[in-house]
Amino acid sequence: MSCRRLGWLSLGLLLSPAVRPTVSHAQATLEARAAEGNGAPETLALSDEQLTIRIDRQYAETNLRHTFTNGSDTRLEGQYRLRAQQGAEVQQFAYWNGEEKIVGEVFEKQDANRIYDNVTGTGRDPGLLERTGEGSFAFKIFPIEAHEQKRVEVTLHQWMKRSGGAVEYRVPLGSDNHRIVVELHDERAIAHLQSSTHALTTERLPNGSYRLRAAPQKGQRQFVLRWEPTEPPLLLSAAKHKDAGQDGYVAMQLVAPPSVQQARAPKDVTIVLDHSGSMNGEPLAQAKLAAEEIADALVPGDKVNVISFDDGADRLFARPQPVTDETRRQTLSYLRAITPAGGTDIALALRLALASQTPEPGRSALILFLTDGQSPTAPVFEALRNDRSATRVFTVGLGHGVDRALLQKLAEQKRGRFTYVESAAAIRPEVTRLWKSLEEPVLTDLQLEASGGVIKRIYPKTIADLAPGEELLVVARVASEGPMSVKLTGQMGGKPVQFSTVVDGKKDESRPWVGRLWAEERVRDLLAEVAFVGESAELKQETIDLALAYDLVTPYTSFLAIPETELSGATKQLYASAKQRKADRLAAHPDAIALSRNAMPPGDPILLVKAPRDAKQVTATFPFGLVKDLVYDETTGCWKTRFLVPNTVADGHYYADVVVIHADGAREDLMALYKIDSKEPAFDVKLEKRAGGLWVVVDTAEEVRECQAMLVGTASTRIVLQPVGAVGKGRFAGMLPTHADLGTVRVVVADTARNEAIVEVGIE
Amino acid sequence: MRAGMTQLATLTTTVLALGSSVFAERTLYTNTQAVEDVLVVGDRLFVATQGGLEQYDLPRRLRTGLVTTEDGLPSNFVRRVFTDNGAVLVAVGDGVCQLGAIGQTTRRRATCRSVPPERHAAASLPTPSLYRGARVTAEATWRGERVRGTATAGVWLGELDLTPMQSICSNHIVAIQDHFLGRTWFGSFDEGLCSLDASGWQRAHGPFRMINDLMVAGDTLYVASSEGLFATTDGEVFRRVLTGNDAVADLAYDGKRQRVLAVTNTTLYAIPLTGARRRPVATFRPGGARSLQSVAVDPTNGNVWLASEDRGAIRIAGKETTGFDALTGLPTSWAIEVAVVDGTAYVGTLRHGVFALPANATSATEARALPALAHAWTLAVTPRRQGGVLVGTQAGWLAVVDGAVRSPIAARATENPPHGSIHVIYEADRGAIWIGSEGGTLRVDHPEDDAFEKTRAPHAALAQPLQTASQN
Repeated sequence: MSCRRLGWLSLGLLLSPAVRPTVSHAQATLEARAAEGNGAPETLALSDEQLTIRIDRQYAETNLRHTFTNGSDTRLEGQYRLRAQQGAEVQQFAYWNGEEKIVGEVFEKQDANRIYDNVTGTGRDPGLLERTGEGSFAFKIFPIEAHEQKRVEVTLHQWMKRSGGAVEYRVPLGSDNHRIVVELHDERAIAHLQSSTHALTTERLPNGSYRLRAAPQKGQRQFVLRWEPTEPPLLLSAAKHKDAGQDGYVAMQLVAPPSVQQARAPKDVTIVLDHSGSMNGEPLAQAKLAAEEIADALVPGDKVNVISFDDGADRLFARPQPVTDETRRQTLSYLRAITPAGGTDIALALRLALASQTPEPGRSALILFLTDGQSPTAPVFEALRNDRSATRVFTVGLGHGVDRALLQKLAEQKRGRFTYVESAAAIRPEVTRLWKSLEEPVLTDLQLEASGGVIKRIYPKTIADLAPGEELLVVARVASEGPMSVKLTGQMGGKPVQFSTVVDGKKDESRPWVGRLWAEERVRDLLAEVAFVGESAELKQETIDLALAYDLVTPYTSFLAIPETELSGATKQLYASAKQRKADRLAAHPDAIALSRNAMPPGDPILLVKAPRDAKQVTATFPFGLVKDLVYDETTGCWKTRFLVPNTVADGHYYADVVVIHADGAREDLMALYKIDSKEPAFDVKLEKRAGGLWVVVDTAEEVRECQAMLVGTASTRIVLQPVGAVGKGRFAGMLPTHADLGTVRVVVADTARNEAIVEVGIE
Repeated sequence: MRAGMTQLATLTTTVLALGSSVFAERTLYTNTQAVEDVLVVGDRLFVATQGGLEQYDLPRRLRTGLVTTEDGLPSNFVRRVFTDNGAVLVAVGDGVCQLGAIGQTTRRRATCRSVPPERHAAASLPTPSLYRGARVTAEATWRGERVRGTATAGVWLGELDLTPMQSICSNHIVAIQDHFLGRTWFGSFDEGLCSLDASGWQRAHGPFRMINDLMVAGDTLYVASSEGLFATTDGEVFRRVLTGNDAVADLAYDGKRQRVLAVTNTTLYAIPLTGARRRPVATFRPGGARSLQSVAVDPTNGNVWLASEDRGAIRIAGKETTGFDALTGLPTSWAIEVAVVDGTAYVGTLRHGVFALPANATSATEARALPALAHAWTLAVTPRRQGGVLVGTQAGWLAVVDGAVRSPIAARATENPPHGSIHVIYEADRGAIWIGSEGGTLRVDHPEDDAFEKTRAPHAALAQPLQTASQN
């Protein structure tokens, strides 16, 4: 097996860059071919399918159990593919080798790489989950023995937004032999619970939940469930999760009213349309139609302009022009004449669009930016920095190839909203939906504030205006000593409005999905930050910590399923140590505070504290007498200081005490643990002559950053020893490329604080 | 509202420095915005700051004195001020200094004695009170008016900010450059950038605070900081030079190829200043290093030298990269700084002093240790116009290493540095030397008159071959 890519596959390798139409048929398949051959893969029969669906409010956790049958006399290797609904993410996956369940787990990419390389080196192929598209996933399975019933289990989760007051759950089915059980829990009353695809038997459980069983439907390839939560209009409701001793997580919802009597504000609308070669065909056709609909919907008093771009940019008017019959005709004519060609220069088009705005009091300037491409981030950042206008930018990303992070960040910076559109067919409805929220928003200028506690790390960072009937979901971290009031303020029909709810930030509650929703948003934000301003140790570290804690696949983490019982000694140790490392990382999850190094000799590390930007004061007190006031850093979104540890400070573990005074005067106490280590690492060296050279084994007593060896006087023999025991400490080994009978081997070991020790051993 | 009159936070005095026979003029610059303690005695206000002890005449709202290391204090970080039997005492470092009886004299030499060190327990932190956005660190009253000392905004009498506006931006200066807009520029540890000319101090407002290096190339000032690399041609608008916000540790100018060299932890960037393509060229992990600290260019041949925390010194000559570290024979791989002068590469290490390597060395065994700096924790190694290098260490040393590897070497400590840790030494025009430390920045004019420069070291100070483990 040759697949060695880890983590997120570039979709460009698998799919054409063009947006693919929505596929609506069954999506769970296992394609397999003979393990020893190169024959064409065949799809194995899906002989059994069980779905257990748990829904809490509008959060669904779907457990899929698929059994495939290898009807051949041959051992096969297979590729399991699953295409779920847009927005679904894999929470867990596993497969069975006989009675052994091989469960996938998220590891830091470097650990996963090592394990993967070791396992593939033995001729086996570990199950590596790949994200092959929005809501699409795949992983390899080996072996599938002759006539084996191969069982596969995947758990998906997703948040379902209300639309028109109703919640709709969909999941694809792969066979007629499906069994479906749903448990639906909601504190709100539920009305109109029904399925358009299956007959349901409904049971009310003692805790008030519903248990539904769907009878198999021959030929039916999806299961649809629909219901309407009933609650008073304009109710701000909240679901919370809190672990003991930790800050809580909260998910808040509000549904905008279906209509509000208000005068429509005049708008300056600039449509920016990507017509690069990758938009060729249906995507560009649909995007043009969507743009035409917007042009049609503009009214006298509005202004309009169109900019089309590939690796160059062209504009209809130098400035947005008042909507008249003539300018509308020109707009439609211009849009219809656009043809696909060239590459994508987002920054160029953005600069042109921003520069063409002519802001006037009482008018809102909007840029609707549609693209399917990627573009260097630095020039986009530059364009944003140079623009001080209040113009709002709404970005629409089309298809798998689009740079979502860039568009998300762009919209966020310009107080707009990012909309992802997976398929060409969805372009028009999504753009129309977006336009409605822009054209006649019923709730505007929304902001969240809290009293009696602290609400922080709020996502989305900028709350967009809400269209009629649109649902808002906000996730955040909360901390308070008791019930706190959370208010959503804004404008409705030109008048100030306020919606409030009470969250008890102190009381422990178990709804882990709230934390997961927040973590996903936080990771998305961190990755957008990385894409936008470049990778930094702090951003990467927090991403990894959250990804490990919540089993999220990111550019820094991979989802692996390894049959432990079949691992060789060294790989087994490697696997165990990677698991231990993960457990250690999770145990010390630095959710609120981070140091650039936590083991160091005396020096000048940087202390980062995650506190709100509007905090009044963040002060750190160090045990050697130093008191430092931290300053908010826009780039990292942290409060930051650099401090000096004098070289007279003795080795040991220390805490820096940090006091955060929040905007409302609330005080938060944090601690940062760090270790001063100036001692050389202790270690033993053993040499063993082997056929390939000199086998060098180093046993260390502490965690090690790097271990190197060299035959003295022969720089070409220099090697970096690899861990063979617990990762980072224990045993390191490597083959020195020498057959010398005499000489000296020098070994240098550096610990995590970068203290070095040198040992020389003679060759006997 | 500020006090009607401002004063430079500087004191110029003439003291015996660095030798026995001649005088050098010294000017110390400190920042007194960080207040530790206040004491009102009659109409006088004493303010203990991290830049010395200030004395104010309260009825005139005027600072009348600043007592610093130049006046005999062992450190400019004054933690406490109090009176005992009519004498003003200040707690400095692990000692107490007495300023003598309170009188009209504003400048006094301090006499100091050691006392048991204070405990720095911070088990239960009080909620800091804030004044004008700054943490209040000390309070007193004078004629019913509140005197407040703050952590970052100086000392206030009621609504009046008493602390002189004009001062260096930080007591901890890590980079100095002149020849840009006619001013001398100072990069601080975590308080940004400021500059000085005859009109006084100015603060520059850039998107950085934690500066690591400054460099002037042509009409441009480059600022290497923990927030990234920036450039300015007017001292007001700073453009980001490298994409991303990776910390940039050090800068060098390659005159032969007309390019700026910059290092982040993992990457060497070469930024062309001429030609059609000016995109930075990145070399990732040169020599295998993951923690680059310094970059220098050999002016004779354009070879690039790097100092790293994990691969020692690295030389890049064309396509050939050669490493000099613990594995290849140096006592350590932890290099802090490198400078190349007259065919010798001087490599400053974290705690093993400075090594001199022939610039064309093929092996680390050709390195020679500089015994006078043995075991020193090195902070700065700067080329010197007359040859050799100036070395700043964490032990209060300002050393001059004179000549090439096989020449005699002079290495002497400066007398009475503002702080033990000297992070930057900069040779200005007309031979003046700036010394940037963690506790103030000192300008020494006319050091060429100093006996220090003329001293020839005794035989024992000659460069010694390295004692590596294999030679033991």
